[in-house]
Amino acid sequence: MGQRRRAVTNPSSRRVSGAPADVARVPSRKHNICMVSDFFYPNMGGVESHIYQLSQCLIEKGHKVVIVTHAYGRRKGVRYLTNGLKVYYLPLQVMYNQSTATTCFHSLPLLRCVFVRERITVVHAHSSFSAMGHDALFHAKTMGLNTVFTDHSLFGFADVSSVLTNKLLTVSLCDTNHIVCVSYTSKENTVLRAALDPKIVSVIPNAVDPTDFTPDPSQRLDDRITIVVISRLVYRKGIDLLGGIIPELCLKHPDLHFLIGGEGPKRIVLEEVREKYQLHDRVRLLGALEHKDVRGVLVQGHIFLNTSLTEAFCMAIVEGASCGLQVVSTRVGGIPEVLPNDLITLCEPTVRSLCAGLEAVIAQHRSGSVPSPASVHARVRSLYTWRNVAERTEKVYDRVSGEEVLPLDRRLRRLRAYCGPVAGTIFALFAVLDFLLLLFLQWLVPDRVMDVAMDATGPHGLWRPGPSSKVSGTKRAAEKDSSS
Amino acid sequence: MSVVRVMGPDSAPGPAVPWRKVLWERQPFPDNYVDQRFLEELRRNEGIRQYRYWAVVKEAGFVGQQLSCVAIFITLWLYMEQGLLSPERLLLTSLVCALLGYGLHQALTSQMESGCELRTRLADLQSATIFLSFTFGFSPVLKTLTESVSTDTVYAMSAVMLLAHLVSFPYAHPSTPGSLSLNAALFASVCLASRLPGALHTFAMLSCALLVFAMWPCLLQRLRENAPSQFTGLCVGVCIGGVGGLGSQSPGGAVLLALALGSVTLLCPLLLVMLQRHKDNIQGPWDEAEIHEDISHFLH
Amino acid sequence: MEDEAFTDINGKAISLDCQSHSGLCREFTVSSPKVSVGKVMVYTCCVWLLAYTVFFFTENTAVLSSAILITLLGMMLHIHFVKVDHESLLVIGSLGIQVSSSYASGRETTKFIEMSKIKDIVINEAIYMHQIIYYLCVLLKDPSEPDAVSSVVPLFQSSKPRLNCLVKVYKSCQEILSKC
Repeated sequence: MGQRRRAVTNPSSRRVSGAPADVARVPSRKHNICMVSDFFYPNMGGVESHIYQLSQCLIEKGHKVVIVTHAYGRRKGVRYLTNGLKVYYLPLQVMYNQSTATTCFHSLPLLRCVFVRERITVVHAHSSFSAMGHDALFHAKTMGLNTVFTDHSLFGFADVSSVLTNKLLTVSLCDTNHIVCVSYTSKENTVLRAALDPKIVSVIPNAVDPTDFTPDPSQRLDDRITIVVISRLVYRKGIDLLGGIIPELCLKHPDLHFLIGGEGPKRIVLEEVREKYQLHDRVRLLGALEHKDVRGVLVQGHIFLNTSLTEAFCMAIVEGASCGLQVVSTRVGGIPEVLPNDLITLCEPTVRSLCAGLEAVIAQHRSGSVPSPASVHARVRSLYTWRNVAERTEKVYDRVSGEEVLPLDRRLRRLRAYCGPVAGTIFALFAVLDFLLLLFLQWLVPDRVMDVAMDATGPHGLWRPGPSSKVSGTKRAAEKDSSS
Repeated sequence: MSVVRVMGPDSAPGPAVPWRKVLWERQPFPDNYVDQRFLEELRRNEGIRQYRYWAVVKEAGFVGQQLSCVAIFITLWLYMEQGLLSPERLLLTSLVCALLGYGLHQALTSQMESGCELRTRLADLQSATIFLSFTFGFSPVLKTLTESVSTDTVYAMSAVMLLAHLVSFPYAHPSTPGSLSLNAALFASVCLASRLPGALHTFAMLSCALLVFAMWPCLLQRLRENAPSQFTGLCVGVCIGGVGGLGSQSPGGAVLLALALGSVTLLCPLLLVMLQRHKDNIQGPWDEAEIHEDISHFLH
Repeated sequence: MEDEAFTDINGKAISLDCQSHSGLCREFTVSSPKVSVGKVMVYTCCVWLLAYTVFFFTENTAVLSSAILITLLGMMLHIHFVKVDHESLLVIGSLGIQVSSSYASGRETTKFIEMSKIKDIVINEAIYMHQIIYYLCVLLKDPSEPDAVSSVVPLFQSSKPRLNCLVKVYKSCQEILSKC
């Protein structure tokens, strides 16, 4: 019956679309990958664009990729993005900061449905703040699927909340097949937090699209030196330091201008500084920026300033350097690993040190000894590309798909051994309950009565751009209607 | 090594070049390579303070002293309630104590010569007069305030409030008692004072409460700063006074207080010093940087 | 035409009947299985056992009589408003689409959509309860805005056939729609 259905749903005329890319390549192993995270478009941020770009590059390599996230407002159901990237917006309750509430169980029916109908082989969860990601890992292991986790952030060890979060991370990662971190510092952090074997943690940096961030020196005003800051205006991004730097430097250099993009609760600090020192004409607060407008702001500047207090991998400084700016940044987290020393000036996270660093770069500018924007761009453009990221992530999938998923008895033993007697026992119990719930669901709606989803992407993908195709018709309808 | 060969963008020929902790360079190592230098920036227990037992006991004495103050206050209330102590005598003693304490405070302040804001004696007298006259004027009201509430409730409330006072008392910087702890203590004393037989009793009790919970910590702080050796003696004295006073009314309470004082001043420091060995604080480059300098001066 | 065995999304057998009245007129009927006597018996027994237990403790005969009433009324309401015997889709090229569903009691509801309002017929995906299912739907357009979809009419809502059945109906419909 299953074979028959495939034959019906995959008429040969529709097979044309995905074929050329496949034929050209040696038929290496293709994976059906499910990316799960609470954070995806229309939410904006580093994790969101990472998932999107990585998925696009994996599709280009012939894998099948679907993304699962929670519903954003009226956006629920199934949507298709560029190149047939399928996104499931599942109606799960959002609890805090766009992260879903987790009961460990209630997301199982829907996630199982997605995993079964899309014939998923690898579940890839993103961000340790995403409860949905952890849920998906938990259910995937129950269902015997291979799991990969990408950690995008750093976390301390000092306070109560981080103790709890780290315990949960230990539980979630102790039987995950492979973990990906975005920098070596992030790897050290994750290995310590979740008590992992460092051999199963890979470091794959983030990337930027170099074609999006090209220099344009004509946009710069020559009678002034402009310092650009683009970040959310929150404490963790060191906006208080910025509030100290602005008056200090503006008093010394009358031709210095600040261009600040981003929004957040610390905006008030910058507004107060601007008010007190009468710098309205020299400090411009642009408010929240859309991703497509970022380049337009960056190219107006000479120096890019980053004052973050913690950062796993700072995409902003790479974007700044890619636009040909001189980068000045704090030496925190993974930032020292990101750019070679001649492209970045690293400072301690103090006002004095940052001012000294900035002044050195300003002096270089005045003497004209800075490299040209074009040469900086040429150096940066090949450093971090999404293709490279996808290639390295593909290797992780290849490795993971060869590994076995722990059967229930060994999984329980692993949980008890790695997570301590209390948490280990509790989560072992949860794993058993999850397994029982899965058995119940399999009895209620057996796998064989679930329709296999049409592949938009992947080795037999049907995606074909054009208004007459059925898939795009589906998409248009999906925009309109979704029931729960 | 079989694992190593699978991973990474480049197939590893052999580690001819040393590994560097950078991302911008394509290195001939697999992505999951673990170098010798992995976690070399990890620091443990940095800037840890090693506690010495007797030093901690001295500091803990302050907690015991505050506990005893509460006990002394309750003792006084018990005496008043049973009519063993007349309000006039309590008022007189309080006045003498207040004057003596004020003198001592002034002496210690002038010794310190902190010229920031020296309140004049007149201002002090003025605020004392306002306080006393208000308390005196309102004492009949306060006396009848809790009449409709059952006595059990009043006692329970006072107990909870005194406990809140003890918990929220700012032991680290007790120069001015924190507003929560002071308010809780005063609330408790109003509750207790309203159960006394007369309006004058209430007034005497409240004045005494102000003395014990508001003035005494200020004086003690000065003592702590200027005469540490006498401070320790004073704490011991207050503790003995508290146990002795309570003992004259309820021996069982005195035993409990003594036990509490013993555990707070002797046992808890011992535990702290012993458990110190197990402290394992991890620090590294992933920690959020702290802003140490004062940035607010740019704003104000 | 009924050579293939179709099931609905819960795995229950359904049958699809395609009738070709003419080149431009086709009728598709999806029939669900009849109400099974065994199931009715089980439900009735459950209600009555419950009622008898309550009666045992309260010794109130009104409980028993109300149980009988509830069973009868429930059954009637079920066959009249819930239980759909068969749903049919009549596609007449150049004229329109008629969607009708007939309930077990014989009641029938019919809806007609004229061709000028129909934009397309597509198979769509939706989240239904705790499942993600495929369903067939008619996309409607406002004649004033021919490019936009104004609303969606889902088809075979109560029988919920699986994808292979939907694809068959979809292809036939597209054949007719492409002709006119």
